[in-house]
Amino acid sequence: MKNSFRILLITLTIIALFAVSSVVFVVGIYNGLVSSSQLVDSSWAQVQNVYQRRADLVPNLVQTVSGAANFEKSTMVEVTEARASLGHVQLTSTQAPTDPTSLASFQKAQGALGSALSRLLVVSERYPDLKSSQNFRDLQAQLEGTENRISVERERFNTAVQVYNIKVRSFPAVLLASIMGYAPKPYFTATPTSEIAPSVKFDFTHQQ
Amino acid sequence: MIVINKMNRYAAISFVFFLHLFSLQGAEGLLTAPKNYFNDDAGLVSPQVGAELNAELAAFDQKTSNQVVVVIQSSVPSTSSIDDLAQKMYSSWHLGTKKNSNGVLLLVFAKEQTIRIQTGYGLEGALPDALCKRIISEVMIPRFQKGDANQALIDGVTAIMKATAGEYKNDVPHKKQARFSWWHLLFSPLGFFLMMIIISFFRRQQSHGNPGIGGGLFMGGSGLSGGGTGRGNDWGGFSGGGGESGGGGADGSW
Repeated sequence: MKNSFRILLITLTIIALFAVSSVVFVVGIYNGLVSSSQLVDSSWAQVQNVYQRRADLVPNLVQTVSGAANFEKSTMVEVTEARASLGHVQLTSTQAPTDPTSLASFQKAQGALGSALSRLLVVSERYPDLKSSQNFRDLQAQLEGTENRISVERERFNTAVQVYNIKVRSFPAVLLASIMGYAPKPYFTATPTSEIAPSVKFDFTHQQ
Repeated sequence: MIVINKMNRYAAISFVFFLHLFSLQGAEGLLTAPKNYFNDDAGLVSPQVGAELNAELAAFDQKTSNQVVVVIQSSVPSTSSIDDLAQKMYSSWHLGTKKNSNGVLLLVFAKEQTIRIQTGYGLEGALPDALCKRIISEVMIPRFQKGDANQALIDGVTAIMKATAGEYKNDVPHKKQARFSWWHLLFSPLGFFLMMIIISFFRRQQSHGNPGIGGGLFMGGSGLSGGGTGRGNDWGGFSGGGGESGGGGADGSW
């Protein structure tokens, strides 16, 4: 009968339209998550880059300061050890960390190296032959530049993570995100001790 | 005679609106994009030196596409660290092309006697941090200490240009032609007045509105549009190419 056929056709059309628009909707959400996740990963790669740059400066720095007469060995040892312990907390550079604790321990290890380096630079103020060494001054400039780069890239990373997290947690993406395998990602945090300037203990008993 | 009718009300409202637009132009403050390549807001160097350096840097951009911009200010705003401020400035002005990020920002703060060089990603190789530091401490600071700000800037800018000269070529010459945009014209004060005149013309057909006000406002409006929209690239000034900085560079004080 014509009438029921028409009703069937309309119903099928509505169902089809609904299905198509759902697919388009889901694809849109998925693609949005993919692209913002990719941005987070590329920001992370930049962060790794600049941290590596700092780590690479350490051997040269250690060699330069050990050339200075009677340089305080303990500070130098601290730097070398802090750099070595970076190896224990390496995170992959291809994907941003998904686990807050592993990011926190990475950040802590990098923070330890950063503090050791700034202590070293403060101590080196006492050694005039270091201050007059062009090599040392160049290294100092490079270290300062690298620290600045680190804070810039960390900020960019946090911004990328924020954009991604907003997408993952917003309605309606939040319903689908966990099915698709997208979870909120952790941020870099400001460490509580970073506000305190390093205190330097001048150890006059160790003359090496 | 000023007649209070609908047309005059429209004119009055739109006049107030233009004033608002005009005031918005100046309210941006610290991060307003610099108009020239060499910007001396503290009067540290002589105007002649400033003009010469501006011309050199503009030519440098035309030739190599490197955008070296000098900003001299009287003092640092109290809330910022210089690194942070330089980064914010670079990010908002986008020195260098979008593809290469080949820009350099040279900042001088007269009161704090501090210099900072901030490099874009693309010039980090030519101007590594150590070289920036050397330019500051060996070239610029001694001259500042002698009291010769002109020479400090001349030699500093020359050193920066020399270091970055061979890196890039400007393969899109005359890219600094005025970017004329119909959209800008429509929403500028001038555009508004044109619309008002057109509207008043139509109104005159219907009811006898007062065209005298329109004429008076037109005079005021053209004055505003002259001062309001500072499209620097019309007059060979600086406009950023889309570049970004990673935080590289160095600073120093004298």
